[in-house]
Amino acid sequence: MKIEENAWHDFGLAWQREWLIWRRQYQSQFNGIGFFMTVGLLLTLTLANLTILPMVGSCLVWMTSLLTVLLLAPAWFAQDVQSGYVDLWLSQGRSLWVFAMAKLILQWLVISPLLAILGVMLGWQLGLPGQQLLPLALGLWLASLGLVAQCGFGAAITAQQSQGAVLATVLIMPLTVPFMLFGVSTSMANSVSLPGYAALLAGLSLLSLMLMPIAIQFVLKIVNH
Amino acid sequence: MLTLCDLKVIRNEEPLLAPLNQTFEPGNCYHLRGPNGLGKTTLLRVLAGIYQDYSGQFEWRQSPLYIGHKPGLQPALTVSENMQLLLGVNGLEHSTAILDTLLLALELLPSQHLPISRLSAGQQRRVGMSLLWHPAAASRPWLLDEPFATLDTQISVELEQRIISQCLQAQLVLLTSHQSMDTLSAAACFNTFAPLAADQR
Amino acid sequence: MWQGFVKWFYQMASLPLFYTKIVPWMRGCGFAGASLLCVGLMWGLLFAPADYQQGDSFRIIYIHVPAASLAMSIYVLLALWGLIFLIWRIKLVDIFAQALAPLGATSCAIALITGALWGVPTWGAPFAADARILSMAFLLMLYIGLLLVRAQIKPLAKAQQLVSVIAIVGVLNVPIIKYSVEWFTTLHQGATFTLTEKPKMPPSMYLPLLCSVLGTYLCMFSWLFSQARRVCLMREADKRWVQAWLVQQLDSEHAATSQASQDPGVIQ
Repeated sequence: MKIEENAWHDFGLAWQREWLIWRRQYQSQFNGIGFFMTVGLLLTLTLANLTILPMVGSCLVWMTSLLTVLLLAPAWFAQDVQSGYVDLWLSQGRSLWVFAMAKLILQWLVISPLLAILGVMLGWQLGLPGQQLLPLALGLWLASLGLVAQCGFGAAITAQQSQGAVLATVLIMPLTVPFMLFGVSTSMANSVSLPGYAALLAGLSLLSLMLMPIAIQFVLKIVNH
Repeated sequence: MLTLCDLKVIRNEEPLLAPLNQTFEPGNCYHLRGPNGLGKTTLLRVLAGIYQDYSGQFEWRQSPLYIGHKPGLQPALTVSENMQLLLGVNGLEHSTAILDTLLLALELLPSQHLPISRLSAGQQRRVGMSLLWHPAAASRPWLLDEPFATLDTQISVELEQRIISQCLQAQLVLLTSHQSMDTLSAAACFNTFAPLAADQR
Repeated sequence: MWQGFVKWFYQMASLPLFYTKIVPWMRGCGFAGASLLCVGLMWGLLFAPADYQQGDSFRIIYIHVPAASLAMSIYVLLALWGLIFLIWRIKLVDIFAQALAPLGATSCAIALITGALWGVPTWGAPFAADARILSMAFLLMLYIGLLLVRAQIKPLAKAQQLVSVIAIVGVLNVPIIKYSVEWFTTLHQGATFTLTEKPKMPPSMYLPLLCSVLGTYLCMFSWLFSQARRVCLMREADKRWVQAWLVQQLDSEHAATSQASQDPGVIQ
């Protein structure tokens, strides 16, 4: 039986695999949740008696979110490269960028709600005004797509290394700056300017999602040698 | 059928093997021989389309099935899930009926819902090789890198039989192996191919 | 003439020929660059008129601006060379990239430090959250990432290709980072301090600056060529032409120490 072979088919294959793996390994998300909550707890303890300006509180939430994604990222491609799955994918002439995109989309779908919820909780703890919490959640949800895409690039570079986390972090930090900045602006927006900022952020994140898998494809081919 | 035209495998900007001009005829099994570290695995990866650092050309009549050292198994997934994904990547049909047939043939039916990390090395290798027991695999050439390593004796014998029947169906098999393959090496379709290192003109 | 250029180009791509033929260029650029730089710095630091508002502290721009523009140009060059290497696999281009990257990182750091020194008398604090300073800091991080990958990833072929890809991705992100930082600071920080130079300066101020910048670029080329020769030697250490060159060097030293040197055509 000849199976219809094209990019959509590859995407379906990759998606099915990612979904199966996540179903069995969803505990790995708990690392991220635990990290976020630890940092959040420390922040609330140390800043308990200070009145924090809304912007500072917002920035703290964003920094914590960035660090959480950076913590989770290096594991994304490591298993695939080291187990030889990328070899198989290449040997059958399938596009790696489809594989990368499926992985990034699934990771975003899985991480972004957590970030949004935990971020809002932390923001509320730090004393952000109520009407800023929804923009914060929206900003986190949209920007995390871009963050996941950029962190995926770093994850691909360090896929073969056992202690690649530091290298990946140094590499990706500058690349995540636009998302952090636009994200903070979105979360500080009032109801009038919010749609504009959110649209800008969403556009940038989607652009990153389109372009990063191509870079990841190059890197995975190199690293897989 | 596989044709190599002045193929030079390159590693770290140095040629690894002497240039290869060869035609591999279908209906034969070729055993790539050579000392350790020669570059046999690299050559197989070039022919599979994974390793891109080469000059010259090679051409396959049909797209081959490649099974390398690392079979691409995901430790967290179960046996049947891994098998399903492996078959899917290689473009082979993976309905439940076919999966059951394969599991039965490889004696993995009782452990089909166990995560692969709980299986022995021999059983894991069997999952990796399960492609070759698929009905549609018989119509494609095979590239096998150390297929008999860590494989149980009984399955090894079965694999040798499969390779022989593959050759009888006018298909090509290329493999490397450090193990003695008694049944296979006695077959009529068995050939040896010993590539030379680059500095051994 | 086109044939001459192509011939020169292919000669340059051959490493032993590059090693010898680039020497006059290296020396020429070095000499010209050093003299221009000296002139520019002396003129700017000592002789140019003091600024109306900032007094003498503005003189640091004669170091700051060349360093900053060098940092940015070098990154673009690294990305360009990365692209050329990925497409055409010319070894020399990757040698250039390896040779120049440390200089880029250093000049980025110098730009940041001199910017901070400038900030102290001007704003009272080393760093204002100015868009340019932040962009330069992120550029420094990109450089560090590049240098780390080059140092840590072991098989040379892999490191070369990875660095090329990272440089290209970085260069495409740099405008986005700059734009987002500028946008953010104008939005949230109020008035930014404009550090513009040329249009508003009288000739007595921007001419020495021009001198410094030109001198710096010439020096950069000279440094590039000398470092590229060093990297060349290191990479090709086991090739025959390097062994022959070493032997020749030792012979000529030996001959020189034993008084009369009668060997005219020594490769230096």
